[in-house]
Parts: sequence; structure tokens; C-alpha cells
Amino acid sequence: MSDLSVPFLFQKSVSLSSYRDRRFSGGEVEQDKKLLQSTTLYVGNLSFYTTEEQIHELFSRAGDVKRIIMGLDKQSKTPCGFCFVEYYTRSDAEQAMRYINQTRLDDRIIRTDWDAGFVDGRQYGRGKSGGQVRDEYRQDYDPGRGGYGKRIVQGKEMEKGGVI
Amino acid sequence: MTTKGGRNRNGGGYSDDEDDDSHNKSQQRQRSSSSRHHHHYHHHHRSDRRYVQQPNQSFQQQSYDPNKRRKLGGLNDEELTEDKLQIALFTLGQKIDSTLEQTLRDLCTTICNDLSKHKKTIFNILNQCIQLVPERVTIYSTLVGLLHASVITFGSDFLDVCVSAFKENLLSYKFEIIQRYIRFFSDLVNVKLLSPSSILALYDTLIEAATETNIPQVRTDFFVSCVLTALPYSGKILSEKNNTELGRLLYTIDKYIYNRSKIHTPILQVWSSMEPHPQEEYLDCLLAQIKRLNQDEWAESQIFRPYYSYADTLFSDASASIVHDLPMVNIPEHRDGIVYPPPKIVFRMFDYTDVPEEFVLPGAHAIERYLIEDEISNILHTYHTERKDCAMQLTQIRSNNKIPLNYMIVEVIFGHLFMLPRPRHLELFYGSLLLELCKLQPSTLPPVLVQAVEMIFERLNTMKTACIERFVKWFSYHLSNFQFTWAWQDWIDCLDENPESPKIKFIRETLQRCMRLSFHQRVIEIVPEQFYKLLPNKPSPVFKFEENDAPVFGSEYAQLLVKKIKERAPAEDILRILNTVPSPSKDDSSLVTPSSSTVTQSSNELTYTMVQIDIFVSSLLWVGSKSFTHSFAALAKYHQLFKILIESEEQQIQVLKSMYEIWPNHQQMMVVLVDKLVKTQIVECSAVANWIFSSELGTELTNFYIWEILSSTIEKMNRQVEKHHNELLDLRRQLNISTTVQSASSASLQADPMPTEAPTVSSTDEKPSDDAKMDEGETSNNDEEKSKSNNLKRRRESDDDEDDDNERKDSAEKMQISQPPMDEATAKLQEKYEMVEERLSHAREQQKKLYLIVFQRFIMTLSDFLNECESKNVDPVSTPWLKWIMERLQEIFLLYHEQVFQYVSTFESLIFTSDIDFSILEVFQQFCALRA
Repeated sequence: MSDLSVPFLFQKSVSLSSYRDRRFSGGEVEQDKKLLQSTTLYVGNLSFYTTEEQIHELFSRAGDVKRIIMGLDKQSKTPCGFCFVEYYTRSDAEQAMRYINQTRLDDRIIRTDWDAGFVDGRQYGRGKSGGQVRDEYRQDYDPGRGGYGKRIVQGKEMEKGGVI
Repeated sequence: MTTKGGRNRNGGGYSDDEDDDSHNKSQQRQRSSSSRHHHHYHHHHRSDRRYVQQPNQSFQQQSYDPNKRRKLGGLNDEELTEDKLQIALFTLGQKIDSTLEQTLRDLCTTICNDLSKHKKTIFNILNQCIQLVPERVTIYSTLVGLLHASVITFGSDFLDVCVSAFKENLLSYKFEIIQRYIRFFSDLVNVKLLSPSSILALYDTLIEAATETNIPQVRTDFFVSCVLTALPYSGKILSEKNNTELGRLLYTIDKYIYNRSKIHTPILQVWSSMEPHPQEEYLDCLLAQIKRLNQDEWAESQIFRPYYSYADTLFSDASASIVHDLPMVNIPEHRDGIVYPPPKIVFRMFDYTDVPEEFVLPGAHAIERYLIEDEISNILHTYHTERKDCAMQLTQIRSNNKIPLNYMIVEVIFGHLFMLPRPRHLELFYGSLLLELCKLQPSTLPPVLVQAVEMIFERLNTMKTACIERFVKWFSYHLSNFQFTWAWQDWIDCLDENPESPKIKFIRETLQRCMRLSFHQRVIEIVPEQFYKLLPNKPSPVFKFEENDAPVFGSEYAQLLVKKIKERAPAEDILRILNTVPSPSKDDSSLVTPSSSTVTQSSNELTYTMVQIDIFVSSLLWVGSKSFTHSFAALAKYHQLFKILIESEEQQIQVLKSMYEIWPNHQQMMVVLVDKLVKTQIVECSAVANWIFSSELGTELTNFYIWEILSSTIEKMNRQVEKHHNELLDLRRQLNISTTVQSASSASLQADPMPTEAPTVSSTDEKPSDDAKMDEGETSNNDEEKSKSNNLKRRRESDDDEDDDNERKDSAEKMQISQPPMDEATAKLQEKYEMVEERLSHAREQQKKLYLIVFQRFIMTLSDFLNECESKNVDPVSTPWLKWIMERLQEIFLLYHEQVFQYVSTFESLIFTSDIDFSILEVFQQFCALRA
């Protein structure tokens, strides 16, 4: 039975969000097409300490996981709070979008979104300091993501330097 | 989760974090205009051009799927009406409010105005609603009734469309939809669209189907259940107008249900004990409820019947609308191969004593209990893809204030989660739904959930192993969403029980899963000290070849290998070192394969000894022990070497043994490693099965991860068969098409969409090879390795790669097919068809062999245990061990009944013979009864 024939009611969780990768090589139409067929998810708001093992445990509950690519700080090569999870099938990836997005892992509410497919280089943070951009300017103190935002820390250090 | 002590940290936790998130997002958005480097993930509801252009202003509260309509140039009139109506009809009555009465009247007016122009669309959407939203059936019948009263031709026209849709679904055996139509027709009697006598005639037709002979019981069960589930809707009016016929109908059903076989019931029950609640067979229970309703003169308080608000329109004597007769419908005959809905049991865990005094839980045989359970189940199914909406709908169920709705919701959700053979939806769905419910009702739902957990915990001794496992998985997941807060001290009393007892096993396995979702130290912190003996070991690797005072045989080679592997030495170097490993001692035959002295295949290489394999596998896994990615990368890099070293099943088992020796403390690692070894075809499924039942793992056999490994292995085998099967079907279709095309003397195969699609497939499919894939998660200096390791040509590709390769090959072939003249293309397809056919039959053989091994090993293991008990004069039934293993056998039968059933005669004649213990044979017999 085609019980999912009413998209506005039953397909909300798997529809595309507004995010598009600006570094995607190709037009928006092509990116959208890839996103709609993708079996890869971007997972965000992870703690820097969350391991591949934990991610595997949670995401394999939605389906057979093909691989997990941990997001790394470009400089330190340590996890910087995001990853890509690739499934073998679209339907398994959809299940993860439906049931894992906005639930907790390591006591943090994590976020999943469609990704057009992993290409080498995507595993690195795109912030100036090597991590994710969101951690550059973050104002709050987040112990799971390296404390304050990098810019704030820099600012504080400069302040300190000024005083001394 | 709020614990008994009333700690409630969670309600706030969610919103705090969400605020944080949106805060971050708004920051990003603010910056995005000024920063060149804006390439970040920010998520807000889509409000782009397409969304704004949606012509549904009046329905703004609905988040509209932007992908639904791709046209930018506006919609035509028909599409506009369709969109508007679809939203209006599907959301009709979704929220409890007092405006429904007026909404229905307005909608009726709107539809009346549109009817002449958009009849087809309107009928189509109404039918969709009937098929897809069963929990609001009475709202739709009210609307249909109002339309019937307003437009003279509506009734007969709409009925025609409905009946033909119903017949179509009957012919294609869409059981769920059939049942929904029967209930809808029954409710149309209440709005004076259908005559009571004609709905009775439909019931009689359905019941007549139950008197046929030589048909499976599951078929007749289905038709009888259709009548029983419709009667609460139509019973009242039938008892007023056609009481004699109704009585006769009930008598026939009663007689049928009394005589039917119920051998299947025990294998489906969640608890083996009838205490405190019997797990009733579903038709028995439903009949008891209907009989009670009949005694109460069909008075019930649960069904929401909005039609009574329109007495002036619907039930006035002046009403001129005609009452129609439902046309006679033929029930299609039974055919072999039709899979009817399987029998069920009714899951019950609460009774009236379990709920607070201000509530009244309807008794087990009250129709209200069924009606509310059915409504909850329907909502679970309708909204299973949207957990937030699902939770919202559940909390909005209309019921009188005395009904403890949260208790019933929790009971039904657990009933679904524990359903045997398997839950209808993903286990994770039920878990995430319970989280949403806790969020929506932070003060009322968590206490009910805590009470439910306590009750299930107290009943673990008689709970089926498969259900305990699901309980463990859900509970650990739930805890992980609530900072692992739980009143563990309440369970201290059971800690002195037998370490294999269900309660201890439950706690142990729960802590194991909690660790998998967090980390070792965290689990130590969440439990009181008394629980430390149940904690999982620290999941660190054990390397027996490590340098120490008393090195084991082969240590020096292993250490050399470790060094070489770390240096990323090519496989040839590793092989050279392995070749220098002497056999430990010529007469130690247990360590050497029987065929070790014979020359294998064409080359002059000898088969490798268990020692050589052990040294290689141990060293490799040790080097890769840092993470899953490192381990996978190590396996991928030396995949070809594995293929050279590992030939026989004994060697494959040695790989698994070596893995177990490195990772005895890391269950999850073993689960993913075995998965990888099977997927990359280093180890065959049958080797895994034999390893699991081997003496080395004897003490592990009751641990849940072992069965996680076995199920995942069996499922991979099943998927393999399924894949070939689907390929074959696909080719068969293509062959048919190509012959049709040929006969129509069309120019090329391009009429077939497959070849034209092929180039796109291959272009989007530029996946890196397995080596590359495995390395990507690691740091950049691996890149050079890729090229090096790619030089090693692998003898067999991994499963992952094979798929990709096949796809490429497929597309390549398809491309070629479209070039040459037709008969050549067809011949090629034919050739491929035969090849796939052969592959399929080979896979089937493998599958059969796997099940044979599994069942054989079960029987051997169980028989050994029973004999041992006899010699020691112990009652085996008193041991937890027998429960764990016997119920795993049951589980394998249930989970894979479709596959097992294909080979049932082989199993019956070869292994489940009369000379095995009756308790084992009984499991087989219960399984067979499921299809009888």
C-alpha cells in the first residue's frame, strides 16, 4: 500500500533542508538531485569526544551503516564535532533522518541533514582555526566543543596580553 | 527519564539545548551576509522562492513539502484544487477543537461547489483518506453523509467509485485496506447512505468464505476479523433493524472461533506465563469483546461519531436522500502463494489496579479497551514516518476523562515493540516516539514509563529472550537520552541471583549497551558500587604476542609483522615473513590443517597453518585497534593477502578465533569486524555459524552480542539471495520488454528506460575503491598508501566493491545492448539471465546450508546440555541456560520464517527427526503451525 503518498504529511522529516554546500562543484539543480538520492548524512553538534563507536551504535539502529567519516580539525587532526554517516540504502538513511535527528548522543542533541556524498577533503573543518565555522564565533561556553568559540578565546588572550 | 524519586531534569534539558542551537543558527545567519567564508550548516525551515510561491496561503499552518511541486510557473486550476483539497481533507479533524462541526459544514459547501468541475479529484482524495487515515474514519463518513444529503447524485456516484476501489484491493489482497473499507461501509449505514441489510449481506459473504474447506486458517481468520472489527460501528443500528440476522451472524462467528486451532499461540506470546495477564489470541479476545458489547446492547462510549451533530441534515424525516444498497461483492478464491496476515496475540501489561485511582482502565474484554488500542495502533501506523506528529496525535485521542490514556499508549507501544516475529516498524521508531511523548507530557508520561519498566523487569523471568533483547536495546537508548538517570538501587535485591538469571542478564546487557552509547567510565559513574560486578569490561584489545617475560610461540614474528604493518609494508613483505614461520611442531596436528602438506590448486603455495594465520590476523588487528576505521583500513589494505592465506573453512574460523582473542572485551568491535569480514568475503556465513557454536565460545553463548552476530550474518545471506532474485526478476522484465519491442520492430532497445538511465547511474556512482574508502577517515599521509596498495591486484573484490563493479558492468553491458541489432541484444540478456539464475541457485544452496548448520548446531548444543543435566540429575528447565538457548532457536525460526519455510521439508527429514529431544522438536512443530 502506498501509505506515503501524501508528502506534506508523511515526508517532512526526509525532505531537504535549506542548507546547500557552497563548495559543491555543480549547480543547485544537480546538488538537489544528488541530495534527493543520497545515502549519506551530515551529522552535527557532536561533542569533540564522541567516538566513531558511539555514532555507529546509534546510527546502526536505523540501518546497515556503510561507513562513518569523522570530521577532523584541519590542523590538529582531532575530531571537531561533526561526521558523515553513509548507509547502503536510501531507505535506511531516511530512517536515520526520521528517528535520530534532534535526539541525543553523548547528552547532546545532534542534528542530521542530507549530504550530497562524501568527497575527500570534506572531513576537515572549514573554520579559519581548523575546526568548524560555528566554533569560530560561538559566544557560549561549550565544554563538549572545546570551551568558548575560537575568536572569543583569541580576543581574550589579546586582552590578557594587553594587560600584561 | 524521571525516576521514582521524582528527579526531573529532563524536561528542561531539551528546550535549553534547542535554544542554544537556534541561538547559534541566528548568529550564523546574521553573519552570513557579511562573511565571504559563509559555507556553514544552518537549518531553518525552508522559506525560499518555491515555498513562498505555494498557492496555499489559507493553509499556512501546514509545513508544505517544497519538493512536492517543482514547477515555478504556478499551478493549473486542477492542481490547485487538488492541493487545496488534499490538505483540507487530510488534516480534517486532526486537532481536537469545537470548530470541527462548522469546518465540516464549510468543507461540504466548498466541495459541493467544486463537485461538478473536480469530481474525479475529490473522489480520489476521499478514497485516499479512507485508505490512509483509518483513525478518522467517522469524520470522513460524516462528510460523505453531509454531501450525500446535499447533492442528490453524490451518494450513488461516490459509492460506485468506492466499491470499485474496494474490489480492486480485494483482488490484489491488500488486507489492511480491505479491512478499512469494510469499516467505512459499516459507518455509512450510520449516515443513512447505506442500508443495514446490505451491510449485513456483505458480512454474510465474508463469513461464508470462512466455511470453505481446504484453505489456510489465516485466510478465514482475516475475513472473520474484518466483520468483528466493523461491528462496533454498525452493531447498534443492525440490532435495531435486523436483530435476528445479527444474532445468526454472531452465532456463526462464535462457532468458527471455538473450533479453530491455536497451536501457534505459545510461540507468539511475549510471556510464557499466564500470570498476571493472559496473552490472549487476538480473535478470541475480539469475540469476547463483541459478545460483551452485544450484551450491553451495543452501547459504547469511545467511538467519536460527529454525524450525530447533524441530526437536522442527516436524520430528519423530511430528508429526501436515498438510502443505497451496497452492491454484492465476490470474495476472490484462495491461491497458493498468498501470504495472509499472520495470527497475533493481544499484549496486555496493565490492569485497573495498576493505574491511579482517579482513572478507570477498561477491562480486558471491554470494547473500549479494543477501540482505544486500535486507534493508538492506527495512529502509530499512519504517522510512523513523523515521530513528532505521531506523538502529538496520540496525545489528542478523544476519550472520556476517566480513561488513563498514557497507560494505554505505553502499553500499546510496548506491545508493538515486543511483537513476534518482529515489530511492524523499526525498533528505533518506538524509542524515538517515546522520547517525543516524554517531551510533550513531561510530568505525566515519564512516571507511567518508569512504572512500565519496573513491571516488565519484575516479569523478566518468563519473558521471551527476543523480547528481553528488544527491551535492553530500547531501555539503554532511552536512558542515553536522559543522562542515564535511573533508580538503580531499586534493583539491588536481585544482585544475589544466579548470574545467568534473566534479571541479572538484563542489567548486564543494558549496561553493555549503555557503554556502547557512551563510554566505559561513564557507565561506572551511573551505577551504585554494588553493580560493579555487572559492568562490562573495559573494551581494550588484548595482544597475546606482546613483549613480555614469557613470550608465546610466534611472538618474534608477530612483533616483526606489527612493525612492518605500521610501516605500511606491501603485502608481499608480510607474506615473506609469514612464510618463514615454522610449524610449531610437526606432530601437533591440532594446529595444522589436515591438508597442509598437499599442494593446493595451480600454484605451489602450501595452505597456511593456523599459527601463521593467527600471527597475521592478531598483528593486523592489533595495529588497527585504535578505532573501527583503523581496523577496517587495515583489513582493506591487506585484503588480497587474506585471500591468499584463507581458503578452507577451518582457516576462516581461525580468523574469527584470532579476532576473539584480541577483542574478548569489546563486543561491539567483534560485531562490526565479523560484519566486515563477511561483507569482504574473507569469511563465509557458514564459518561464522560454526564458530559461534564452537567450544571456544561456549561460555559466551548466552550473551546477546553472539546472537547479534548470528542474525546479522543470516541477514546478509538472505539479502544476497534476495539481490540475485530481484536481478532475475528485473532481467525477466527486460527480456519480455525486449521481445515485445522486437516484435514491434522498434529500432533499438532505447524504449526500455534502463539503458538511457545507465550513464547517469555510472556518473553519480564514482565511488572510490574499497581501499580508498577505508582510508578516508584517517589522516592525509594515507593517501600515498592508496596507490601502493592498489598495485596489489585483489583476487576477489569485496562485497561493497562487487556491487559497484557490477553496476558499472551492468551499465556498460546495457549500453552495448542498445547498439547491436535486437536479436543479439536479446541473446546477451538471455545469457546474463542464465548467469544470474545460476548465481541465484548457488546462493540458495548456500542459504540452505547455512540454516542446516545453524539448526544442526543448535540441536547438538541443546542435546549435549540435556544429557549433561540428566547425568548430573539436574532438571534442565530450572536452568536459565536452557531458556536462553531454546528461545534463541525459537527466535531464529520466527525471524526468518519466510526463508526457513522454503526448506522446511529438508529440515524435517534431515534434522528435526523423532530421535531428538521432544522439547527441541516441539519448537519446530510450533513453527510449522504458524502457516497451517
